[in-house]
Amino acid sequence: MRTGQFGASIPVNGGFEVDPSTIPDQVSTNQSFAAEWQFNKIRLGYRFNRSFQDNRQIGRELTDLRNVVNGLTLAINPLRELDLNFELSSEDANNRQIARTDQTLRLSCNLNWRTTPKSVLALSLWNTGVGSSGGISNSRNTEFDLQWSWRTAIEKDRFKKLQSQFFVRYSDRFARSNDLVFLVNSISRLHTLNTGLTLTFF
Amino acid sequence: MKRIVLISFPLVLLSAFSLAQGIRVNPTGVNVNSQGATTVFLTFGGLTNYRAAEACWCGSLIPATPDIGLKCDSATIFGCLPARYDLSERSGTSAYTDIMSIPPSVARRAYQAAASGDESRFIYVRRFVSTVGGPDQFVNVTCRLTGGGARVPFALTDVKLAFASDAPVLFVKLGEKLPQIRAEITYNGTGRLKGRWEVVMPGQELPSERDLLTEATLPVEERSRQRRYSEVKRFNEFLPPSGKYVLPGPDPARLPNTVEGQYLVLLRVEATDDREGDSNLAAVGDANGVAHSGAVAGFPLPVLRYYIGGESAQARVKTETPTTVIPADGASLPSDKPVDFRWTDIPGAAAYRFEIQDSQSKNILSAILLPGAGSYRAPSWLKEKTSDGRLRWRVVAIDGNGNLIAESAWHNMRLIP
Repeated sequence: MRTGQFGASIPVNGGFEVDPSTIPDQVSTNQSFAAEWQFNKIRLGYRFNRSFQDNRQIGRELTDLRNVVNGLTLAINPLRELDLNFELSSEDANNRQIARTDQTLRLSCNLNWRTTPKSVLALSLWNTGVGSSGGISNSRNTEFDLQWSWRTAIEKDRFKKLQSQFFVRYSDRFARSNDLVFLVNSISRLHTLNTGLTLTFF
Repeated sequence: MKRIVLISFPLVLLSAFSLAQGIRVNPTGVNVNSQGATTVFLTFGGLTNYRAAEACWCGSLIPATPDIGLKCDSATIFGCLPARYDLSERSGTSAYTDIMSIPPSVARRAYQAAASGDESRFIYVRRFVSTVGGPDQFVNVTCRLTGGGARVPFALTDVKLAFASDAPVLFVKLGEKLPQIRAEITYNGTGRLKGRWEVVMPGQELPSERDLLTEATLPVEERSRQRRYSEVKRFNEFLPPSGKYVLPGPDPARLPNTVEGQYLVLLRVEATDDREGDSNLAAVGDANGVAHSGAVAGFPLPVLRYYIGGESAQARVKTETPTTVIPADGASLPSDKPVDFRWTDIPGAAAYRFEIQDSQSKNILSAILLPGAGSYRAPSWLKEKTSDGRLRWRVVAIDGNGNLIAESAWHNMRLIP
């Protein structure tokens, strides 16, 4: 997709005569490609996207932005009771004006295992790292969730039953951010343990 | 005496100069949408001994004497920043991050004034009050009327989260698949929309209002402190300068649905590079850097709720299996007579797949049958497909999407000549 926008006519005394670079003149291109393959127990996907913002205003010809995204997904069902998902993506953002490139790399993994007809174990792990050229800034976020749920049901007849569900979940969140320009340097870590019991009467 | 005057004169001049210089802002001028709302990230610097007061938009300025700067001509005021849109706050050492959210009514009045012959720009004026009894300061930003596309700061002006079913609060039974989610986004400018879909699980602490703001709406030092939840999907999309975009949500199969309770789907938008929305902190004397604020929004993003509760028919089916009745396991049947198979139905099955394998576990017959049939007569050529007469059979229940939901055990049988 290619889109162009420019100021065809300029309002009088609109503030544009002071600085001609305020008059819009930009051409942007956006290219995407996605493919997905389905096998017996495996699903594989790939996604590509590239965009380019070409600024053409007088005095701002170099304020261009280019972004490239690559993504890979993999879903596996080795057993009827087990779902596995993996995702890997990389993002590359280039700012030509300040000659800076920010790169993001993300990896995630999800597991959903119905250990018995009444209990489910779910595990998730994400890691996202961001870094810029020259080491000006970087950050990392790592997140981990582990959850187990167990369900019981006592059914006397169609309208008399008691259902309950118990779950326990552990979460670990780690975030680190470092920016040499703004002098930001933060680390945070959060451990959470949640439990819950649900009772349903009807 | 003359010496005192000579020494004190430059000091008075210097202090007057520094006072006149006072509070600065960046950017000093922005393009805005003449036909709708606009949101811009501004930074005011040099607020030592000053606090921010009200902010208004007007068509022309007059000297603020005896205060400092130029203030709005009260005859041309288009409106003031409503308190509910005011997300501004102190930042850095002595700076002030201001989220200028121009309501459509203000843009409309400015457009009407321009159409009737006034200048096609208007001014945003923020007043700062001295905390030590000094004069107030008025700092202004020029807003140039444009079409709202390229060269306007990339900002979200409206976000609607919805399920494909249009249900505002969705109740889903345990284990059932949720409908597709989408975000209808209205925006100004153009740029990259990147971020994450996250889910708040039952029992987790709910996000605060500032957690729901887009990252670019916050001062730089506060951005990494937003609370994070369970990530479901990451997105990074290019939004052309067309003003509207529908962002598809995560794969419904990835939305958690195994624990009963309330879930909140969050759209977390990260700050991106956008030259039009840059705020140069060095220009206002606060820090050496440029705050990128692509995808700023003057409001907390909405959340989408859904409830998981009760056991679905599908979940119940998973605990039940079709019961095979005839022929019994290990039965011997004459090969010259028709063979009838019978089983009992289970709730929730959309169809059944009847399967027969030979002694080598090789499929020799497979048939799809509707619920309610409960029986199948084997074709006459069945005996020709087996060399030793030994077979096994089972019934598999499938749902409306063709997914396997239950299966019976294999039953052995033998065809005797």
